[in-house]
Amino acid sequence: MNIGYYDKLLTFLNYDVEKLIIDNILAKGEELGVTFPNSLVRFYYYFGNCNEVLNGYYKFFKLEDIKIWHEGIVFGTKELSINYLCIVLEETT
Amino acid sequence: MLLILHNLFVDNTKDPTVYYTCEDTDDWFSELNYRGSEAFFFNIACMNILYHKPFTSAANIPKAKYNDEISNKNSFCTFTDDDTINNGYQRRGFLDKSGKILGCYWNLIGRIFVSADSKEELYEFANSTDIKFKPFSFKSVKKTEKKKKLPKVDSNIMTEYYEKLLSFLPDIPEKLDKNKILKNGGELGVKLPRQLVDFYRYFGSSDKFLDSFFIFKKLEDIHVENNVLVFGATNEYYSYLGIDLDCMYCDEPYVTEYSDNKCSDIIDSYGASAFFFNAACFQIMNIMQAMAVVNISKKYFFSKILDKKKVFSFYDDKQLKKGYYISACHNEDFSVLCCYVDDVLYAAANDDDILNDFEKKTKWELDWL
Repeated sequence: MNIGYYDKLLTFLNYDVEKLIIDNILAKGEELGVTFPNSLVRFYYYFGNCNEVLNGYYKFFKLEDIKIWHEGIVFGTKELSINYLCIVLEETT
Repeated sequence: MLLILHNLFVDNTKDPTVYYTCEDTDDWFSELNYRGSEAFFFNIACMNILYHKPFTSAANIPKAKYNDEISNKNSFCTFTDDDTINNGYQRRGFLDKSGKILGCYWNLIGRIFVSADSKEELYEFANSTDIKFKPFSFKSVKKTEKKKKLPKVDSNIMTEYYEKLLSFLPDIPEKLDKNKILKNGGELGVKLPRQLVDFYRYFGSSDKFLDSFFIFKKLEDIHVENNVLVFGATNEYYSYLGIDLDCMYCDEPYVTEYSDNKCSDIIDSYGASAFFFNAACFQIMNIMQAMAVVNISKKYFFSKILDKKKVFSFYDDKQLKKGYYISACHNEDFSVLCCYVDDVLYAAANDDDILNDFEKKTKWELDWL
């Protein structure tokens, strides 16, 4: 997959974002006993260290706070919403 | 490491859906038109960057017009040629040709947002389009107050209550097909909550019911306004009724009452099951033949009257009993339907004699309406 669009999006931040280390993201998945989908790894690789992107209209958990809940990977919430965002494990295998 | 990167960014075998869930439930809820997490993560990253930009403008723009602008590439460019990303989520990020303007189109509410680091850049861009942008700030948008999660109300039990309610109607309406109702939601790009589906399934075909007191919209007129699923108004359009889409995907969403038809000024919120059932009772009462009232204080009603052989609640659940300012109840043989509203008990029957008997048995002096 061409990821140029993520690089392009980065240019709209007015500072350099230190990308997360991919091994750390994968290790977090292992710690939880799951394999993170590529989309989630890619997002956290680019923006896992960027508070601005993690905390906007949608709130994403920091990598270390991602958790497994009811057979799903729970990774954030909508602003002021009672809903959590998640990916169902069944769809990742 | 290179192999890992290669696998991450080249291999695209799995693109799971992003769902919503909330505490106290095992269920997952997905918005319709979700096509996967790739589109979700990228487009939400766009939205979140835009959210913090110092200068933002917005304009309402129909989906068809937006698609024309994008396809003609008059003013906007997509980040990628990959339609999975461009069309796959309700919010779609884009940029302008200069690469200075970040935009996001929210197709569910038909609004386009553009942002820049300087007012001049934004102004110049806005003038290059034929779209009437207005200054906009995410921070100034009034949001629903974060509410506590409501416990799930068993939908089978609610169905039983609705069946009982039907017996009070002089003419029982034909039930609407559940799939037809859900399809209507699908056309709006939302999965309608089951509480609203049940309500419309039982009563959606009866025009008489829909506007007997509250003004419920016909199923096909339900729409999304300012991120709220708007389905009706209180009597005489005193206030407007809707469900905030941001809080809709859970077992027991809140119905919110707004003072304006743009759904920006919130009056109050109520649990959906309590709202729809108690409102349905009041709608039915208003089409029954005979109605009368008696003043009873709230404390006295709930401690001495309700469930003490005079009138009975439909349910044991406190959330349903006190979750809305109308509390529905009935007499012993289900011939009199009652609603307690603001220190007044309303009682209705389909025959004057039934209500006369009720008055004698209760020894209340009813004022007939």
